[in-house]
Amino acid sequence: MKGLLIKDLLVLKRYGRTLGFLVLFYGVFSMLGNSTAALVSMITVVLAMTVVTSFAYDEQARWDRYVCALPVKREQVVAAKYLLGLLLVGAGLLISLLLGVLGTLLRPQAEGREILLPAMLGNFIIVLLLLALTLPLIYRFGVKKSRILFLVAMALIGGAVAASASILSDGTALEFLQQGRWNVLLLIAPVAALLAYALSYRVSCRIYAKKEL
Amino acid sequence: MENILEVTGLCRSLGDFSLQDVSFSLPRGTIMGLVGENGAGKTTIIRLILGGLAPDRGEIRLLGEDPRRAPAQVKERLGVVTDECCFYESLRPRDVACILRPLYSHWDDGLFGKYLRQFSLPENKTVKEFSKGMKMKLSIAAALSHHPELLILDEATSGLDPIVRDEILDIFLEFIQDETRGVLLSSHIVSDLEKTADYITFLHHGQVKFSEEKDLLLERYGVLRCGVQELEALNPSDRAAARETRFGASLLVPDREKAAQKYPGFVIDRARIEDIMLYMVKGEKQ
Repeated sequence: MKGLLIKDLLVLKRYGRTLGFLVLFYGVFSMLGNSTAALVSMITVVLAMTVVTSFAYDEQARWDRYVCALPVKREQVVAAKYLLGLLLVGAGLLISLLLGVLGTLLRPQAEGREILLPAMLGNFIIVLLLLALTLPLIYRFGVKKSRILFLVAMALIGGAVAASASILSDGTALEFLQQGRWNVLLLIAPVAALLAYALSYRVSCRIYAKKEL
Repeated sequence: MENILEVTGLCRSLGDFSLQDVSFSLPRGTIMGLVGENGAGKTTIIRLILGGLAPDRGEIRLLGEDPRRAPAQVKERLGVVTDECCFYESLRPRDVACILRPLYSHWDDGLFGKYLRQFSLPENKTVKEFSKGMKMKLSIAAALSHHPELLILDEATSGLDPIVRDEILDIFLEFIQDETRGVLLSSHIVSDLEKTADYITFLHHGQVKFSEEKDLLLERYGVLRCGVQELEALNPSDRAAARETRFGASLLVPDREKAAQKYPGFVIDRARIEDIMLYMVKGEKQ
């Protein structure tokens, strides 16, 4: 499995320059615009979606056919992709943390630095859920069709976030928060997102096991 | 001798196409040529052998195991070259080694380096900059560098110039010097198979037309030439297939010596593998 992960990282290396440029662009942009939260979310989302790009490269090289010849189980092929997803999400969070801290140091009077950590946490959850939805779709329908389905997934998650926001603005939730239960939520949400990711892995394994290569 | 690969009664339909009752076996120490026109089912058979596709019916024993159920380790003893280079354009040969090294417990960097030098493949150029022949050589080097027992090549020599093809065929012959190994070589270039293969399996429209020892085929089959009228007089069971031309008729006889005794007045030449295939396909159409 290590070899498969190395393969993805080597292949994505050529994509690295584009990514670096994007990070730089968003970095400068957000520092000018005082928008730490936007910076965090953009960088994390862009990096996480690089997983999709790696699938596109796989299709281009007809890698699936070759994988059949390698001494790896199909579930290991899937596991390598999910691990890549976690690595990229981690890298995205790390980069945005660094940029966020840098931004605070450069412009201590800027607004929004107190929301850096919550924004990162929120993004970790959203991006993980996005991947958990997208990866099984890619295994089932391929990259091209999944791009459209991905947009639908984005809209659904956006809707869910908006819906939960409106629920939170209602009395009970406010009460819940006022009672200082934030910490509980902070703890539960990421764990739930990770569980969803693990569940998504199982689903992808099932799809891939039946796939004709 | 023990078979390194056995395919028995294999059936599988894929859309319009179907493989029907395909059987052949590859003994250790030999090269099997899988020959047939484009679309005859060669790649489908290889996908089935590798476990990428499940058969509708029939059985495959790959190094003694069912490829769909076997542990992944069986594939450590297998080297595969597909018709297209599966290494991404941005990779370099040394990257390929980085990927495969952790995957194979017997990966041999020294051997890989030796093949790269032998094939004059620059280690630091990307696959994108390689010619088609170079890509194929890289795939072959990668497939050989973990000391596999069985080598499976899908159209590995097609699209290459004759000199490169010859060079590659020699490598297969060298590989097979070790009598415990085996090679399955699919191709539509009959001359390549005539040069290297010990056994030939001829596939046509998803069916095996024959699967025999090459020398036996060459020894037995013959092409008998006669006039069109004379053709009618010959016993139908003596002819495998016939072709009529403006100048007369010619037919494929399954047993050259028997035919010579029976029809002493006719010219009977040795049949080449290509003749056997062409006559069988054309004869079927008539």
